[in-house]
Amino acid sequence: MATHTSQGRALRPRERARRDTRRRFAAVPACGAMAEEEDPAAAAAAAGSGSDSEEGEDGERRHRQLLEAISALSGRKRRKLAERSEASGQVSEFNVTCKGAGEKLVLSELLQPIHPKSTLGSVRKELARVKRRAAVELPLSKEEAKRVVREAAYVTTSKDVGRWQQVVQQNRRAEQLVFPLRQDIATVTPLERATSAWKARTPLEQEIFGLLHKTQQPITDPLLTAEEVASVQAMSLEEARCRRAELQKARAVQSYYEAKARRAKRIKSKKYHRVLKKSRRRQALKEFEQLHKSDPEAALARLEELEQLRMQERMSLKHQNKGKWARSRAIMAKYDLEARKAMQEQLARNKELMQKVRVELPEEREEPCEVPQGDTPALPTPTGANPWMLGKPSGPAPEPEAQEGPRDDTVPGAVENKDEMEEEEKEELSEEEALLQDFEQKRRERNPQRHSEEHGADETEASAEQPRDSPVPPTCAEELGDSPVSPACAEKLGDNPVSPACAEELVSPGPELPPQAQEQLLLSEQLHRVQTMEDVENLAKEEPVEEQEKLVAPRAGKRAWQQEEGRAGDRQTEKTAAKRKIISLEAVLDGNPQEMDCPSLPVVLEEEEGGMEQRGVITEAFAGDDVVADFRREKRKAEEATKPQPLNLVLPGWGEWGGSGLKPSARKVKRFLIKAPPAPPRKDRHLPHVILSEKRNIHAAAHQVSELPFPFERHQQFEQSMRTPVGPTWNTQRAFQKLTAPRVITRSGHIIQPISAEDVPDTAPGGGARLGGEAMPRRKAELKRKVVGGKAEPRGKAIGGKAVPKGKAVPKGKAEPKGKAVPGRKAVGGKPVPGEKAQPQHRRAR
Amino acid sequence: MRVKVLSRNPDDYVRETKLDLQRVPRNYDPALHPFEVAREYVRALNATKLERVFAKPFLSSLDGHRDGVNCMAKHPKSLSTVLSGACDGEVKIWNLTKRQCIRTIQAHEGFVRGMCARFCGTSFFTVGDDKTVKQWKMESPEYGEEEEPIHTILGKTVYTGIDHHWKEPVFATCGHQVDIWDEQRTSPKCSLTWGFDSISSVKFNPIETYLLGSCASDRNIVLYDMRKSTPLKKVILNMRTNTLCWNPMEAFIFTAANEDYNLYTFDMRFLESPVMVHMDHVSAVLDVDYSPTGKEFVSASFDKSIRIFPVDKGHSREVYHTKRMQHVITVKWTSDNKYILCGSDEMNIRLWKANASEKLGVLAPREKAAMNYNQKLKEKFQFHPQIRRIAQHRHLPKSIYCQIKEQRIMREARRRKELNRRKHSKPGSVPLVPERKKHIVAVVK
Repeated sequence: MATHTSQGRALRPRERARRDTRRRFAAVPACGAMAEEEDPAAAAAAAGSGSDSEEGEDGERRHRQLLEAISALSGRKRRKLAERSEASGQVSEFNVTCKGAGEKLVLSELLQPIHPKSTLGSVRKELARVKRRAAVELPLSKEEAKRVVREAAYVTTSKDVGRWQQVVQQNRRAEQLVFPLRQDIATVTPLERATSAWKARTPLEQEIFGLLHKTQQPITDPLLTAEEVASVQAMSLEEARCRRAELQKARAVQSYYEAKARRAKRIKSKKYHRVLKKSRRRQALKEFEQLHKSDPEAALARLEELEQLRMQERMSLKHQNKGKWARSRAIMAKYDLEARKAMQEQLARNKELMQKVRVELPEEREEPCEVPQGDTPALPTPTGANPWMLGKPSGPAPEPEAQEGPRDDTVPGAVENKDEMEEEEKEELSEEEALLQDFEQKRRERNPQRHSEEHGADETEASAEQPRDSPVPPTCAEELGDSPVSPACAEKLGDNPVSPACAEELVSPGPELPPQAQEQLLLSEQLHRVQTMEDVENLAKEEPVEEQEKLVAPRAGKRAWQQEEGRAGDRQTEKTAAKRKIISLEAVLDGNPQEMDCPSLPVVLEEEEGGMEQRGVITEAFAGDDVVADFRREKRKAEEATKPQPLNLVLPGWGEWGGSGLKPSARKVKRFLIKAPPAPPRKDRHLPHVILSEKRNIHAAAHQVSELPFPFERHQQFEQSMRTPVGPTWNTQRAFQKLTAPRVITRSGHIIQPISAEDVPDTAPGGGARLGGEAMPRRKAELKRKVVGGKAEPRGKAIGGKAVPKGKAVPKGKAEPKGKAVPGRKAVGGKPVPGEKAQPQHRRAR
Repeated sequence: MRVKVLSRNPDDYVRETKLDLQRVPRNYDPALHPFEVAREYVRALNATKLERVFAKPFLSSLDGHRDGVNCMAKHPKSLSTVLSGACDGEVKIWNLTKRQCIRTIQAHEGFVRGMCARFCGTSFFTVGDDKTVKQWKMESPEYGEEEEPIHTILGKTVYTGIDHHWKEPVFATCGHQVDIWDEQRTSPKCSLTWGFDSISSVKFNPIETYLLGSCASDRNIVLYDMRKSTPLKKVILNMRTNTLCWNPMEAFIFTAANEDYNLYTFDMRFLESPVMVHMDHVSAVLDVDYSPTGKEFVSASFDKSIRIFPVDKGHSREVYHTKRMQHVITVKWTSDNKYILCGSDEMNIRLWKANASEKLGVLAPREKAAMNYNQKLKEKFQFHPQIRRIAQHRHLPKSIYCQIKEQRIMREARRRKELNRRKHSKPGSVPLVPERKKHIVAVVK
């Protein structure tokens, strides 16, 4: 029995597996996962029932095997019989399970009503719903459905992309962009990582690697061998203790000295101090003598120190009888012998100190004591190139103690003082010394230059003077005033009225070109190559006419006409046409010059039949206005203005007495007043009622801008932009750098990655999400408005501006295009002036 | 009598060390420095002339291919490395500093249709006429190793282009449809189709990396969204678009190189009309690539020249050509914004400066300041006729020059005709179509 059961148990897993497989065969097409989920349940059932029906199970198994074999034979799947393999808590001995057998009845359960819901209710509802609906909507066609999906996707995607709008706008408008946008710090891979990744492959590499490894060179971060590490770690305790004791002692000694010094300082006796000083001085001398005998090298060093001292003295005002004490002594000197003596002593001391100590060559070192006496005083020597340097320096005068300082350390009598003095003066001394050294160094550096410049000292001074004294000669300055660049002039130009006809031409260059065609070409492509500087020059010199001919037809036509007139007489055919015009004009004008005398003649002619009373009204209204006389006066004035002025080179004071209120003699004026050559005849000399301004310089015009360029909206803006210089000649260094900062900066050798959300942390695309869609159209509208404004501007101006100067129009000359009176520009010199004038070229008078 | 002597403090004019710059005291009083406009004008003129004199953009030619160069790819991490594929199936990797070919692979049978590098720069992909997609290691094989692709995917149809995702291990190919592949799988993750046509190029958006743009031979440009695996919108133009390129700084802007000699810059949100039409080429535009700053792009054309366009201008600022350069098929702008590479039919890759007159190498600070100043002056006086004239002058080969002239005449004639037609017909019956709208046939949702 026991074996039986064990066998049964042993078999159970196998059987389960088989059952599983069978079940899977059945279930796989439908739902494989479900079958697997059922497995544990089945196993539990088997385990539960296994204990009771072990002997029966063997037979059952056999039976099943048989069934399986049969089903396998037929090859067709049989409909599976219902199988009772569910898990159940209570299994009765009659193999019948009753649900809820073990549970107790609760009273409340019994009290609940039996299901009141009739199953028909829902059916009825459904029926009603179906009746209400006429027909089911057809599903969308595949194409339509796809389209809907696409549209939805496009809307969301473009919204997503639109988040970048703000960033893009910002970058487009940015004054300066630095690429790469994210400045990443270059990281250096540590040595150990680099070496660990690398492997020796070729035989040579392997050999080298082997050699290296033999020595066991460390490759990790602290590049120390084992011994080195050990030595670093070891620091003996003894040593540390010694050092600490030393430090303690030094500190204690220092405090003693400090206390002592304080005490000595408090001594007020002058005599004590004087004695102290004297003894120090004496001691120093003695010591120096000794030193000189024993150690000439050290003596030399001392001598240099003395030199230093002397320099200090020279810089100080100490012994120059300028101090308060000295002045008081000077007052007293008349009466007091002692005071006189003291003063003299001080002066002597000053002299002594001021004397230059010559640093001897090595062989002359024997008599250093005589050196100071032998030397001439440095003050009056003219050898120094710079007389300024011989005076008193502007640097701060050193403290009175300064000169005593260096000597202090040699006093034997006041050894105890030595340290304290040093202590006190160290700080001041260090400051002063630094200062002195600074001076000294500067001077030393200057020396080589000075030597080189010595000869030409005068010249350099003279040259240095020049820029200060002669900025611009007066005549030149006057010219500058007249120069065409002057702002007043520019304003004038800007305000120039435009005759309506010209303005119209300006506005409509051609019968509405499409926007693309209107846009200027960026390149002018040619068949020949520009290779040298000369070629480029030539390029510039080429006639602007050629370029302008390419412009739109009407303008070109007009230009052509003008040119023909300019060189009338070249070609026969053209000449006739042009000449006829000229002749006719002249005939008209020359025929009736006396018409000028009766100003209202044309009016009379027109109004002969109009009625006398109207004429009377008009004459009454304009009784005070003598228009024609005004015009004549104006023309005369214009003629006067354009007449070449004589050049006045008279300088007062040369060759005769000068001074205020004196005038140069007539003879001199006559001699130095240079007459200008007569101007070419005026073009309007035969046109009595026209003023033709001849101020326009054709040579300059070739360099001037004829139309208002795109981003500008008014002439004034453009002129303003031209007028502000950017160069370092007119701007400080900082301003220059700011003005010329490039728009885009890239760093060579750096990869510029596409922009990403991390590059714009503050204006993250999330922030601009709501801007997305509508921002772009707004920008477009702005742009459009701008363009319209730019175009409309000249027209508006032309309308607003005066067509004819001052309303004093010509009574007659309206018919001819030539007669367009053009306002003169003030003071346009002969120099070609670039920029400033963004005026149409048509406006010029021929 | 007191005599005043001229004396100056040397501290004011003597420099402290020899290495210091000489101190130049300067009075900025404008009265002392007259004629500022005139003087600056002259300086600007000189700067412009010098720019033209020093404009020598051609740097070198990389030769070694045995057939026309069909495609190129930039290395994403190394500036000195560039890859090129030829019409005989050969792929070459070049070192630009040495101007040498460092590796040659016989990658495909027939053309190498497209290539792209993986975003990390460790490997690259090629597609060829032999219907395969191959992935190669960027490093040359080790000592004793065979030159073999890492992966090879055999497809059913010919792939005509490939592009790699900018951040993920995903790439897209195009041919009969746009396929999006995972690098790990041998079958595409998804295939995007919209009608049946052969797609010539596909490009990932570098900023919003899930976006794709493709252009097909039935004259359209299609945008796709990878997340939803659906096409978004389609624009049909007058003629076929050869390639497109996304702006690396502006997520929604892309430029399409068209067969009708023009380039069109679109905003993907408003496809009804392009933002700008760039015209200047006189033959089909074959390739386009943006500068990494997103301010300019370079285009390669069948007319044997390459042109550089500012993004916001309708005409080119620069044209490059040489006598020996034939139809330019592919062009790339290096990712440091300094150089341009173009591969052409006559088997050469040419290296150009992006800024023709730029001085290469390290500049001294004063040089740099002078350069900036000159640049500013040129910018300031650019509207003056003489300066504009010099700055715009370019030499062109006769063929291109003549064609430009011819086309100008044709355009003028067309314009005149339209004008006449408008004049002689009922007002409003001949509408005024702006240039931007002229080339768009339809937008399909």
